[in-house]
Amino acid sequence: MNVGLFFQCVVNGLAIGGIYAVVAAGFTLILGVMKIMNFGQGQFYMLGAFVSYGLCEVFHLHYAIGLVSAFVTMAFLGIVLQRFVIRYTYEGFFHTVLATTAFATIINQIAVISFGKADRFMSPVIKGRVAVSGIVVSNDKILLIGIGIILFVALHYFMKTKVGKAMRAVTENQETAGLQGINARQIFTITMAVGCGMAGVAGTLVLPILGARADMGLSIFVKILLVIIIGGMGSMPGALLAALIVGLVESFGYQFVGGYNELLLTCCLLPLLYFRPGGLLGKPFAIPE
Amino acid sequence: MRRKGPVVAVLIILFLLPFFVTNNYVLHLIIMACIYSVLALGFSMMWKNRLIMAGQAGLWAVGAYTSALLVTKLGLSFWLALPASGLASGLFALLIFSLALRGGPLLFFGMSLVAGFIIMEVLGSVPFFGGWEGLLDIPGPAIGSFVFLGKIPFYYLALVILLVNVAVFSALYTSRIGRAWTAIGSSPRLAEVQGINVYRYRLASSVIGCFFVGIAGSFYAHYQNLLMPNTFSFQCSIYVQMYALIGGLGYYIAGPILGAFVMVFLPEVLRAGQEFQPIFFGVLLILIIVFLPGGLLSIGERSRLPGFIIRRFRKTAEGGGR
Repeated sequence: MNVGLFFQCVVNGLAIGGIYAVVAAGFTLILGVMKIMNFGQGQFYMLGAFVSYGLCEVFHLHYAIGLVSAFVTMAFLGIVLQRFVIRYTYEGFFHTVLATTAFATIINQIAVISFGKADRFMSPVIKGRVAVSGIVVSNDKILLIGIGIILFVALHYFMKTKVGKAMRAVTENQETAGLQGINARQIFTITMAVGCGMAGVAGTLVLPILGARADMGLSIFVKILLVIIIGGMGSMPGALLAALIVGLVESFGYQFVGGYNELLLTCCLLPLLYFRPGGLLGKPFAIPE
Repeated sequence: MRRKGPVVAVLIILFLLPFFVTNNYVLHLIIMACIYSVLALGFSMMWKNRLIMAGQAGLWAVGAYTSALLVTKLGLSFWLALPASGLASGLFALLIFSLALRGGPLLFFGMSLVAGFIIMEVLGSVPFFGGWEGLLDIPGPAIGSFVFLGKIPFYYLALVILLVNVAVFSALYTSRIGRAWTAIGSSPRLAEVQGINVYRYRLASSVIGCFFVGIAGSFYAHYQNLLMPNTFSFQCSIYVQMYALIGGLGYYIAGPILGAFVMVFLPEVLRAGQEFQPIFFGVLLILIIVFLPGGLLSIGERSRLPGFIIRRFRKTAEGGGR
């Protein structure tokens, strides 16, 4: 195995892992603050890709506009999901799981009916590629990694603003946060908007590289679950770390094993769970009764 | 069982059913509803200690493929493969969930979901299991020279499997184990204080539930004579959860069975287009979760539905919830 191939795999893995990290960050944010699992996350990712495909490829707008409008549209859909479905399912964790799944199924089926099952590809945003001593990386991948890093830095500083602090307070204890004058339901709406919007952004980021498909939502959702389990439920640094690990395993797996990636990851996962049941950086996380 | 009369009457009706239902397609739907009832019963057994099993289709596939491979490759009799596939599913559940339960119920939920996905992927991509084209030519069961043909013998077999399942589960629920499960379901922490080993009881419920799911899988393999990995998709697991929820999560025996029968027959009655069916189911599910979270069986317990809706919205407006 030569060094060039190795670094090629590393860069590809970081690009895939970056996508997973962005989607998983939104999922983890929602899981941490609201204590629910948003099963629509994968479908928001898919829909974000289609929104920016429509804007950038059909209407020939700039990629940045696609990026922003994917965030805004998915944030709006997230608010709709929160205001009209999740708010009324206060029976418990399981009901929200099924409700978000039902919402995701509706979105997915509408997408299948209206877009068909074909792949949609987009022309590269920044043409050309960078070649350094045998490693070839397309500019879009560099763009993806760059925007991913910017997003995480932005999220880090967002959590330090007043709203972000309120979110962390609600994460710790909803009732005590309420006593401090924090409107928990407003925070939930903001959390859903940010979390779902990040999935939309991830969809836009992946569009120039892998294209858009109506069934891409479900396949990424499995990876997100693996990321969440490996990294630790509700732990943001854990999600980031685990996303990069999953991306690297996947990239090296394609190169050297050929398929069976999920199986490979699960085989790594089972011993990990034996030694660290809470994931890499998480602590055992309880479903609120 | 204190009231024996109604139970005997229902049993007689069930056993005489093929004499009244002559339509093969309806009989097929009843058989499928029986299988789905077994899956949903397994789900509700885990739900009894507040574990959410999200990979029921995967465990079903383990049972189905074990049985099919044992019969086609090793030439085993179906009657031996039936319990063997149950054992295979149970062992598989033991392997995964003994690890997953260490991290609590949420990890159990996530792991079961991931396991469901991965089992389907592996069955589809490994040539030994037949690949995505499926495993073909699985022989039907036979007793001596009597080979199962047509729907009626399969109906009786499915019915027996379902009845045995119901009998075992209701015996378990009224026993010491079932009381421990009820205690865990109402409060795991309190149950632990009472000296119940929550981890072991939860593991036991998942293994027993998956044993019967495996048996249902074995039956399905020999009933359909072919297995496609796509049958055991994420969608199927979600449907199983839907059956349990729609029937009523608080009713551990009647709820899943009612839910399965309603949801198998509803699309046939409505004759909705295949394309729009998921949308219809999604909307129906959201409506049921919002307005009738206790399931269909809870209608009688509460007051009329309109008043229920008004009260519900008032309660939400006053605060609480998300």
